[in-house]
Amino acid sequence: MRVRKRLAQGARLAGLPEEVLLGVPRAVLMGTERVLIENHKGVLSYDADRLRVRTPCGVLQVDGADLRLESFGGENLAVQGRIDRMGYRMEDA
Amino acid sequence: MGSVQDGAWRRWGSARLQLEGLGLEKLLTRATVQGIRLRQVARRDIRTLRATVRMADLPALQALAQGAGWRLTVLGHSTLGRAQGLLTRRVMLACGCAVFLVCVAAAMQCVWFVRIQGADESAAEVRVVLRAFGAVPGRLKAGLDLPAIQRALERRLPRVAWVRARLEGVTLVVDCVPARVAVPAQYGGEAGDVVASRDGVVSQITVYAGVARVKPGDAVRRGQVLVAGQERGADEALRPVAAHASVRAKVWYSGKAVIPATESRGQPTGGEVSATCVATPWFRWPVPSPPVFAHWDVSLTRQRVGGLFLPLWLETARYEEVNLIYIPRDIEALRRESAEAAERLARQSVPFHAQILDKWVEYSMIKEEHFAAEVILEAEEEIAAPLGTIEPSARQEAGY
Repeated sequence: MRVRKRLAQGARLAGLPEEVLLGVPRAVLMGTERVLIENHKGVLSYDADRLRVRTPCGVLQVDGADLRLESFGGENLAVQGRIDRMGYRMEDA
Repeated sequence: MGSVQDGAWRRWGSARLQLEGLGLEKLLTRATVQGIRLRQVARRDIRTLRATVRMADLPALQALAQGAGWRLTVLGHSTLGRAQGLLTRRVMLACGCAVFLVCVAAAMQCVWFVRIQGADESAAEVRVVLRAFGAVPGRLKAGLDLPAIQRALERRLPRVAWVRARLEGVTLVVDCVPARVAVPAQYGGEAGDVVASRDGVVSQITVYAGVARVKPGDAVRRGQVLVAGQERGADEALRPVAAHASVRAKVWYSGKAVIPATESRGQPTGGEVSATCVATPWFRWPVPSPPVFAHWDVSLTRQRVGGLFLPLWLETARYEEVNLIYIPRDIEALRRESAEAAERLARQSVPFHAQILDKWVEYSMIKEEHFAAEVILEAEEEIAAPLGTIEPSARQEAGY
């Protein structure tokens, strides 16, 4: 853990993207209807109201309505639908 | 389960499918691990979801679903995928694109522009020739006979030395090089003779204007008239003209180098004298006087007395008496070094436009102390020059 923190500090100082260097997840929320998640480790559960994705930092949960996985492959995931809430649930990690 | 037909589209396009079973999230994760990319994944109920997958990935996904007990149903497939859907919905757009492409292809078959380069005053004549061959904007490229156009341009344009007709996309390009006689500026204007710019033996002479006074094989002196600035007219009268000629001649350049034939070495005799003085960059006190020895080696030591920033120091000169011994140098090394030095000197005199033809080297020993080498370079160069460029003394020497 300490090594990862040091690496993260080093990456920030060097101006390098952490998601590339350390493999941390990256979630980009575009408006209220689209979210892109990079570096995920698989889908834990998915229905039209909730999506739970495993990431190296814990379980990333997206709540909303009419959620669809527009693109799902490799380590990238694009979710389309009405996004109400997004956050980590550490107890599930 | 829907069946997937055999055919080319088995590898192309995409398929819409329905997955049924429990824990479909595991299927999604396993598919990702295998590199299968799913699109438009939508949950229908707790046991069902629908997704789109590339046709190439469908067999792998089917094997995955079958192995774990999930049910996979192909709902439909699209050979051209999105493009097909777009074309189906926008028929007029597709037709418009097709018509546009056909028009562009047709337009590319014609010449739409004509560009004439370098023709200067002959440009109008070039246009006349092009019109005669129908090479005008709108003409089909296939109907143009470029070699014939080029031949006609070469024949009908006396003031053009070189011409080429070519196609550059939809542009017909005619490149011309005007015919101009390259007359050096110094030959124009006033009447006058052409004289030799240096001594030599004429090897070739070409007279453009005037009357030749020398012929190949003649030895000429600097300032001597090579071509007289006069010509006989139809009435047999001599008229002054500006002589113009090219005269090439063999000329010679020499360089001499003298180097010591011996190497001197000092042998200490044991005699030694030291002298100390206060020194600054501007003066020394007391003023040092040379020792009484015939030959000596000297070594200087300086000791600062004013620190780093004050330029004052004690200077001690130590003179050591030596006897000089002269050792003869290797004769081959002398020949090589002296010849190289002499050739360097000779080449400094050779002008840039001269062509060196041959080289001679002569060696001589001077009083057993020095070795001399003289290099003579034979070159061929242009020696014709207008009279005005030669200084009066050279003209007088040549009897002008």
